[in-house]
Amino acid sequence: MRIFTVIAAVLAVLTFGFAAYSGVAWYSAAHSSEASFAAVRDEALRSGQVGVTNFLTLDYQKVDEDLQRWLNSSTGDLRAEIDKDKDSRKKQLVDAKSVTTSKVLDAAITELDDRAGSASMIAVVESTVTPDGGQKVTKINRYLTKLTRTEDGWKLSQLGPLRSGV
Amino acid sequence: MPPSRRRPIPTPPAGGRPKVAGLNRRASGEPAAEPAVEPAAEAVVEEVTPEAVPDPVEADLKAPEAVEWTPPPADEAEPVTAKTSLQDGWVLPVALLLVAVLLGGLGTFFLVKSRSVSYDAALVDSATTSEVNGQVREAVEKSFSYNFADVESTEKAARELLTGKALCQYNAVFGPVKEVAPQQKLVVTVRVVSSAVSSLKGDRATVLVFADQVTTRTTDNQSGGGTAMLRVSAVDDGERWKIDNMEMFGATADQNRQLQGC
Repeated sequence: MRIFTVIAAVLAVLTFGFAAYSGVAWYSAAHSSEASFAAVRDEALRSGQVGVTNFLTLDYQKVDEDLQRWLNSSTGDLRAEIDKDKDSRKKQLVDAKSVTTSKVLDAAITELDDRAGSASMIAVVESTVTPDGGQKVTKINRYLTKLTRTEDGWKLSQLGPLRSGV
Repeated sequence: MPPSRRRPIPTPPAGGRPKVAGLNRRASGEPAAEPAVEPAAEAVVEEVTPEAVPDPVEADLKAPEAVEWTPPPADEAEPVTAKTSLQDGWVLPVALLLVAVLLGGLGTFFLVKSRSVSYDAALVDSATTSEVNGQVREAVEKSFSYNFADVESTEKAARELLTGKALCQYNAVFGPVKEVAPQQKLVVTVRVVSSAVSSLKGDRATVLVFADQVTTRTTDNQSGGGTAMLRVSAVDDGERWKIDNMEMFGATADQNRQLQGC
């Protein structure tokens, strides 16, 4: 009977070693610098896509809401620019009397500096503009945006179309 | 019942009951036979019942276990102690075995988890990322740029830099251009404006490519330009990254139809 105890004890010790080893392997795999960098990249990409969508979506009947959303999704230069021209921009948008909805078809991070908290992203965006009482027009455009990490996550610090010949 | 009360009194030796209990059992037959020890008989009954009852129960409990496990060490010299140590002795190995099974399961779970921890290497593996990016850019620029005076280099580039489905897609998109190119003396220049690796897993990658295309008809020097957004899949064939699939954003209905034929 003692032999069974010994065998069981050995088994227990071996499986403990196995469990400990694979546990550590899992932990280190999940917390490696590569994995966390990849997570930062995914987070930046996700925020960038949301930010771009926010910026390219507007409704002339809800301009205040739209502008506020733009401010919330931006930081740095971009935010300052919007804040400065808020009134003229608002008038412009109201006068245009159009509703624009956009969706990001694809996007990718071109650069990412985790330490500095900055990233660049390119995005293909499909925008549908519906003028008041007019036919809607769908266009596909490409954008380049710079992202900056803030306390509230990644925000857009630059956004512009990538025009031909840039 | 009063007599029964009286009877215990004359049996102070019964105070030694517990000690004698063991003996009593053996002796139980004898004293029972003695008339004088009537009380003792009762005492014995009192005492024996608690012990006598558990005994068969214990025996019953042990019996199946004993049958299963006793063969090797069975020592009948000390039946009682042997039986209890049998019970106690199996608790430890069984518990250890249970622990081993649990740990084994846990370890397997961790192992599966650690295997399934996978992250996309785009940008994480910066060397490979820029290699993919550069080679895909080169492939797009070389195979979609075209000079009527040097058809050969374009076709060679396409053959070398594209593979599989992408070759068919290339012919679908570029075929019409090649048809009119010689008469119009076309020069098509494709330049990648921006590109980024969106996914990199092993020998497969996905790259988002923004390209500009300038087409010049040298017969009358008319130029036209266009922009293109492509999602390109690339595969590492050991030598270099080759394009094996292309998706165009904002392709015309015609182009889409042609691409779907592939």
